[in-house]
Amino acid sequence: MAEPVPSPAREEPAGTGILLALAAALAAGIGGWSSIVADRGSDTWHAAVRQHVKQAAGAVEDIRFVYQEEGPTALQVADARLLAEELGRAADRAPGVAGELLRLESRARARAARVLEAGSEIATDPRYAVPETGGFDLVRRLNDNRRELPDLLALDPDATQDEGSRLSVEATLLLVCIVPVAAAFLFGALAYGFPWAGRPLVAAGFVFVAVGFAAAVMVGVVV
Amino acid sequence: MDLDAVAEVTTAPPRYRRWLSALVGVAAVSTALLAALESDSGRREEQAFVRSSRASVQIFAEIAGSAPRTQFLANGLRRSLGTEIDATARLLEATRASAEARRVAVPMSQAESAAAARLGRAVEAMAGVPPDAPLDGATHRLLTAELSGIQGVLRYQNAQVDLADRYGTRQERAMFAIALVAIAAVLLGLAGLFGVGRSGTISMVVAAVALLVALGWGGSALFV
Repeated sequence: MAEPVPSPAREEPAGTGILLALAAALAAGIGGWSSIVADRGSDTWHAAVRQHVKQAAGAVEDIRFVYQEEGPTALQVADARLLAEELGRAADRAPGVAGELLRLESRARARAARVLEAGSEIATDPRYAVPETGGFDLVRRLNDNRRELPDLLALDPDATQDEGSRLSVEATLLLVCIVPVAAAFLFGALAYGFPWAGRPLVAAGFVFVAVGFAAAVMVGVVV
Repeated sequence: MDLDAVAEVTTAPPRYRRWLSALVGVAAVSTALLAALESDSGRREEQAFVRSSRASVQIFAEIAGSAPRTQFLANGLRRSLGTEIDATARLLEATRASAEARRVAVPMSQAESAAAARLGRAVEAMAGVPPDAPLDGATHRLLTAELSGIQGVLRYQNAQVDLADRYGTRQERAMFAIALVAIAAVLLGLAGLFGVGRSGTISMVVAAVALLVALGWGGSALFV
């Protein structure tokens, strides 16, 4: 059985082990923090895409409903009303049977317009009437429809994406804060290899650990 | 590991220890730098993909959102034009009809023509979207989207996909460089265990080469 070898004399300066352990622990801590922030940033970006899809789908559906469902019915009403008006004017100018026939046609169109009105919320609501043209304000109607779902209207995917980008920048800066901590590790290792310059190297290592820690805190507070 | 090995390392010649400690330190700093590069590249790639995805959604939404209004305008003008054609046809046929029939047909044709003109103006107003329309920005943008604008979004989307590819390549290079640093770290550990001697020196030299290649490869990622 071999004789136990006595432990060699310690040559690295005091504090080297503490420095290396501290640097490793701090690097792991900042790395973990950065990872959490990056994950939040990633989630926020995905939320921005989901919000954009939701917002766009809502807007497209409202536009489709106003211009393809409500608008054409309102236009039928406008068409019938305008023709009734013009036929009425023509009847006023035409004498005899011709005038009667034109008036009859005018009334028929006006009646048709009233029947069509029943199926059109736009045509029956005076807020949407545009007397200057005889048509209706579809933009106003669209705006009213959009406001029926305020949660959908409040979505702001751009702001959400910007928040995700901010978190991403924070995560990257936190990782950069590990570089001085790694430099501290370098100094600690060099103190082991260059014992004659050990004390200044270990001292520099602690300074870099402090710099890395302070920078990480500053990133967390400022960014 | 036994105590003999530890004794060999701690009592290794200063030159061997200097190289070993310096390489361990360089490996630590390289890992931090490459990890930051890899992580940042990955996030930029994801960001570009998110922008690209949103641009795709925007293209679809602008096409789908602008079409109903354009279609409404076209249908309305077609309706107005149809009434105008009816009026003109009635007027032309009236010239071959009896005087009594003309007394009805001509004013009716004039009334239809006037109504068609008013309907055309009404349709244009209904399909119009004034710049100060009381709409939220997203809806206003969809409603007034034009082909030139959509093509601009398409170019932006393609640019973002290219950017994502670029950052993806950068990330892959950084990941490979990190793997090389990990191999170098293992070899440095072995060099420490082997101590001075052929095996230890070979391990240390290979570790140094691996570190050098890792730094070169990682640095090349910045020029992708």
